[in-house]
This record gives sequence, C-alpha cells and structure tokens, in this order.
Amino acid sequence: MNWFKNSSIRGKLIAIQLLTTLAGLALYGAFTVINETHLHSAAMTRKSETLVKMIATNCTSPLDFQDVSAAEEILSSAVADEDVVNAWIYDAAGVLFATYSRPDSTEFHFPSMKAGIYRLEQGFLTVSKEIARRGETIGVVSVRLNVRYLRTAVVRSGGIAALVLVIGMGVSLFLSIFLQRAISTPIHALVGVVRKVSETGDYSIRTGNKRNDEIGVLCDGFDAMLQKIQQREDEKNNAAATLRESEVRYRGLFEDCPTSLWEEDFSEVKRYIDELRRSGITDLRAYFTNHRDAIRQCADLIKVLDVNRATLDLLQYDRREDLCAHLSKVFHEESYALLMEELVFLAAGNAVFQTETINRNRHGEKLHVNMTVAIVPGHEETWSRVFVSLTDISSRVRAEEELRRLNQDLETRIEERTAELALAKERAESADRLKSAFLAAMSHELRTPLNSIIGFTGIVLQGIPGPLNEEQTKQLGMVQRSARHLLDLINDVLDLSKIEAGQLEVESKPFNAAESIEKVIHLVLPLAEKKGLALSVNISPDVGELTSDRRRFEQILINLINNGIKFTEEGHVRVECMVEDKTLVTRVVDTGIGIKPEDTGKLFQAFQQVDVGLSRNHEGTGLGLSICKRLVEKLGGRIWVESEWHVGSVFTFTLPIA
Amino acid sequence: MKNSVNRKKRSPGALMIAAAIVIMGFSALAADNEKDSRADDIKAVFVYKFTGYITWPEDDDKPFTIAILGKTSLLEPLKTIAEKKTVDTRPLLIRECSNVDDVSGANILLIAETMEKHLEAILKKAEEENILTVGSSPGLAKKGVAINFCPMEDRIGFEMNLNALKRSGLGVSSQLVKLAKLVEEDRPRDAGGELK
Repeated sequence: MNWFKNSSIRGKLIAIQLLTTLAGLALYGAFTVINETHLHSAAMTRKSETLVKMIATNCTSPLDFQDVSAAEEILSSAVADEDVVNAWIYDAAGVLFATYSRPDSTEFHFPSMKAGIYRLEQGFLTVSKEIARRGETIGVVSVRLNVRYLRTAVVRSGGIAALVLVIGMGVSLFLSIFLQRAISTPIHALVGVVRKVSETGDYSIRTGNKRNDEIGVLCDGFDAMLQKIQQREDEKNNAAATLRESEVRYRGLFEDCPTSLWEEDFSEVKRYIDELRRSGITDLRAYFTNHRDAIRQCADLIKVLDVNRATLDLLQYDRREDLCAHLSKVFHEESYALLMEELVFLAAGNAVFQTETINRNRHGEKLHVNMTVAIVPGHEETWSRVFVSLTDISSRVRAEEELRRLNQDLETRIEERTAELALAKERAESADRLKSAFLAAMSHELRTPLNSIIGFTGIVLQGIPGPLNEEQTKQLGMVQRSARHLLDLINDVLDLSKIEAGQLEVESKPFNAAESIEKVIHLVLPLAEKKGLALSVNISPDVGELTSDRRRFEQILINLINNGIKFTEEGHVRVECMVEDKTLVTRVVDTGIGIKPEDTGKLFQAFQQVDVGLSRNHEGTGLGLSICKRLVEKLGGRIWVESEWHVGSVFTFTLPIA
Repeated sequence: MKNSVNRKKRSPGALMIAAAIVIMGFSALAADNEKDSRADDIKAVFVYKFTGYITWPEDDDKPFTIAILGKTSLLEPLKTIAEKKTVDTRPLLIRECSNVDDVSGANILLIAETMEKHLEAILKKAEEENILTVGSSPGLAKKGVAINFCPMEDRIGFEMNLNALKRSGLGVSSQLVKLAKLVEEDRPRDAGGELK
C-alpha cells in the first residue's frame, strides 16, 4: 500500500476509480456466473429427479416379477433426454437388474450399489432413487447425466462477465483520466505554489484562487496563512532588529559602565541547593557553616558568563578569560563567607542581595566594594541569569575614615577650648563682681564729699557767708548743677552696680499703688510745668493694694515720667494704671520724638542712649531705662516700649499684684 | 427422494427374505435337478405378489385367504410365505380344499392340475364370490382362468385373461397388465358352453 500513499493524487484518483469499477464489475460477474450455475444445476437436478422418480414408479412390477426386458424398455423410453448417458437398476439384493446406455456414449462400467443419492464426478452427475413397493424397498434406480452443458453455460456467462469487466474498466479508465483533472489540476496548482513558497521563502506569493469549492477554500486558507506568516515574519524581523539594537545597546552599556558588572549563571547552584533542600536540609546557613566544602562546591558551580571592562580594571586583570574561567581564582576566605550569606539570602526568596564588603584584586590588595547580586527578573525560578555589580568605594571609605578622624580631633579641641572658655568666663565674672563691689563701695565714698560740695555751695548761694555778685552766683550755680548731675550719675551707677553685683535687695510689702502714683506725680509736676507740658493721670478704680517694693516702684515710675518729659517738647505726658489678670499694668504715654523701630532693642541696655553722637540734645546718664528694666525683672514683671518715630512712645511695665 | 428414503425405513427382515428367495430362485436356475422346486418357489412368490396389483373387495375383518384346490407342490412354499407375510394388515391364510364348495370365502383360488375337470364349477364359483383364479397349466387362461403361469423365454411368465378378471369383479393394475401375456377365450363363454 506504500506506493499508493506516495503516488500522485492523479494516480490515486484513477486508481480509486478503477478499483471501484473493478470491484463492482467483478461482483456483478461473480453473481452472474453463480446465478447461471445455480439456475442450470437446479434445472438439471429437477430434470434428473423427475426422471428417476418416473423410472422408480414404472419399474416396481418388472422388479417384482423379474422382468428384465420390461425394465430395460422402461429405461430406454425414459432416457430420451440427450443429457442422460446411462441408467441402471439394482434389485433388492443389490444385484444389477437392468441397464441402459446411450448408443453414442463411451463405455461405462456400472458401479456396484452405492449409498449416495447424488454424486458429481468427472463431469457427470449421478442421481439415484430407491424403488419402493408397499413400504418395501425392492430396488434402486440410478441415472447418470452429462453436465457438460452446465459447464458450457457457466463458461459462457463467465466469458460475458469478463468481457463486460474489460470494457467497463476501459470506459472507467477513459472517464477517470478526464474527470480526475477537475480535482488534480487545482491541487497541482496549489502544490506548485506551496513548493515555490517553501523553496524561495517568499511569503508574498499567492494562489490567486477564484474557485468556491473545498479546494478553493483550501487555497483561500493557504493565502490567509501566507498573509499571516508574512506579517509574522515582518514582525519577527523587526523584533530581531530591535533585539539586536537592544543587545548592542545593552552590550555598550554593559561594557562601558563604570561599575564592575558580572553576568553569571547560578542555575547549577540553584539545583544544588534544591537538592540539599530535598534531602531534608532546612537550615542552609547551619549546613554551609558545618560544611565548608559545600560552599566551595557552590563557588565552583557558578558560571561567569561575562564581565565588563570596569571589572577587569577594578580587579586588575588583563584578560576576561582569567576571570570567567573559575570564580575560585578571585575568591579568598572572606569571599566564601560572603557567598554563603548571599546564597542563604537568595534561597530565602529574595531577588536582590546587597552588601558592602572587602574584595581583593589580582595582587591581593584589599578593595572596599559595594556588591549587589540581583537575579534578572524572569529567572527567579532557575537563577539562570544573575547580575553582580561591584562599586569601588575604597576612596569613599578612606574619606569617611579621614572625616571620622578629623571629627574626633575637632571634638577634642572643642572640649579643650570649652574648658578654657569656662575658666575665662569664671575669671571674668569674678572680676565683674569685684568691680561691682568696688563701684558700690566707691559710690558711697564718692557721694559723701559730693553732698558736702552741694550743701556748701547752696549755703554760699543763699548768701549766708556774704553777698555774692552776679558773676559769682552764676559760677556757683554751675558748680551746684554739675555736682547734682554727678550725684545723680553716681546714684545710678551705684544702683546699677548693686544690681549687677547681685546686692540689690527688694522688699515685698503691701502698699497702695494709687497713692504712690499720686506722690510721684507731685514730685515731677514742676518739671512738666516748667516745659509747658500737660501731665495727666488716669488710675483705674480697681487699682488698690500692691505687694511689692514701694520705693522701687516709685523709682521706676519717676524714671519713666522723667524720660517722657525729657523727650517731649510739646503735648502731654499721661500716666495710666489698671489691673489686668492679677497684674498691675502701668503705662507712661508721651507725645515726644519717639524711637525708631531698630533702636527699641538697645533701649534697655546700660550706657545706651538712642541719639548717641554729636547732637546729644538730651542730658541723662543713659542708665535710667536699664535700671528700670532690671528692677522690673527683679520684682517679677516685664517692661517694654511701643513707639512711633515723631509721634510718641508708650512705656509699659507690669508687676504682679501679690 | 432422499428424504423419502430416509423416512421410509426399510424392514431389514423383509429385504433379507426377498433376497433369500431371489437367491434361492437363481441358484435353482443354475442347478437343473432342483429346477421344479425352484419354479414352485417363484410361482408361490408371484402368487403372493399378485395381491399387491389387484383391487380387492373391501373386507378387512377376515384374513386374506388363498385357497388351494387339489394337490399341488406350491402348498409348502405358500405356507412358508404365509407364516411371515400379511396382505396389507390382513393375516395370510392358506386353505387346502378338495371340493369346489370348500372354496367359499377365499380371495385367491389356486387350481391344481388334478382339479381342471371341475373348471366350469370353479369359474362359476369365482365369478360369484369375486375370487381371483390362478392356474399353472398351458392354455388355462384361454379357458377362463384369470391368471395362468407359463414359461416365457428363460423365465417364468404368466398369461392374463382380462375378461375373466372383469367377470370376477376384480380390478388389476396396469403395471401387472403390461408384464402379462394377454389372452382371450376362443369364443365367448356362456352358460352351458363347451369348455374343451
């Protein structure tokens, strides 16, 4: 059947057609022959049966009465049919009783009695029948027929069937050769296209089909397939080009990257670890710690696929092959410990392992590196692609060490310096205290002779020792004013120094604040009137008892009002006092020159006057506000100023009521 | 045909007897000194076989009777046959008679040569009682006997007088007729006619 499988479709179609026809005709022929044979043999059988039956009926009495001639007469008259060649009768004892043979027949040896009723041999059919009489078998009659006519009939019908077969096959061959073209021609065309496509690899060829039958569908399908293949081919080419480009870019990046890059294959290591796990080892770290050779084995299983130039530079190798061959070459004792950490970490399911470590170059020199081991995404299952990058951080590490050393030096020096400064401060403070004590003592000693000067000058001016001329009065007046100013100055300095020296004692006694204010107003009223300024007081009714130092309270108030009068040329000075939230709030409002915002800061510092310099219009020690501030703070309150240049100032201080 | 053979089982006894008789017959032919007794045997068998070709009046109750009038050598062979054979279902009875009147009730009457002188009365009796008359002397059929044995070439044949059969009211099969030598009386026999 192999030839049939490999023969052309044309051959197959013809063969199918011929075989079908052959089968049909052969069946027809066989049927005809069999039918013909059957019909003829049935006819012959019927004829012979009739014959023997007739003979048997007519031969009873000749047998009964031993009349051979009568029997032979019956036989000869019965055997009129030319097919019957011989006839004979046995009697009951099986002895041949009567015979007859056709005159033209060949010599026949009559057989002895046989049990068989029908027998066909050598082209002759023998039929026998028993002759019965009153239920008794009295003999057997047999006739022998020539079946050559039967054979002739069979041969003739066989011949006709064979002729029909040959003619039928011829017609069938003729028809199939013509008709098979309807199928084989388009298929051959398609096969031609297929062959052309497969030989040339040109997927733009089309079958150009115009048919609508199954072959047409096949051609259309093939065209569609070619279309798709062409598209896919284009896409593949594009993809391949993109891939090449990407590969070149990647190679360039890889090669020129300043960081040391390693492309490695861990798949065997992964298999090794998986095997270890399968064998029941759960704690890889413990296993590797106990089996140093296992971790060395792992190192040997790592395949270095490629390294870039930076790697060669970093490790001072000349040839890539030296590095790629065996990782153990560049490994040293620390590396195995590191590899163990790395593998344990990656085996726990992490994709990226990063650490700072020490590596050695070819000459064994230590290198500080930042190492990153990353499994390339998509290769997590197999670890078949792993990127390792080494960044040389030796210089950074050196710089950090340098910095650390410098910091330490600096700290030491700062500590030393701080100690020195503390000592110096201690010295300065003690000197300050000494100075204050000195000043306090000295002020007192200075005031005594000054009071004498003022007192005696007053006496002289009053003309008690004798009359004075105008010039003398004028001169002595200047002396007295200067002396008083000096006394004020000394008093202020004394106060300040006492405060600075911590010698200022304040008392805490209840007194009526309103009364104190009234008293102070009385004292300063002449000064205001002298400058033509209105001095008004506004005391809230709830102002009453105040537990504080009365003398200091009045001193602060006098200082502030004096200050206001001093810096106000026209307008008024007003004192306001009220209680707000258990605090006594006192304000001194003037319409004087005011203070520039930038000067408010230094207003309360010692020996500071705002308009310092050439045009010093306003006399004063410059200590007043400084003393006020210190006193207020000593008494547990606050003092501040709000001012507007050329409009006026408001000085406010607060004191706790109790 | 084959089926009918299988169905109709042949009685082996009957076949053997027939065979024995025929063999005996042929061996008698071969041996000259036994010729007469052999011929008697054949004749006896023939007598018995005639019963199958003759249409008998229906009278099934009585045994089938063969009467022998006078002394004949056929008596012994017939007795031998009667011991073993029947006619249809009827037993076969051989009756010896010495007087014509003793014949009454028989179906076949075998006439011995010694009784030919009473032929007139015998034939009358046979006609009255539907009896088949069988003789064994030359010329008897011409004298009115229905069947008469006579030698024929190398075998034993018989003559048949169809008129006599008709007078006795018996039918005969054409099978038997075609084997017989048919004879007629010289002149129509009538009452008081001369027989010789």
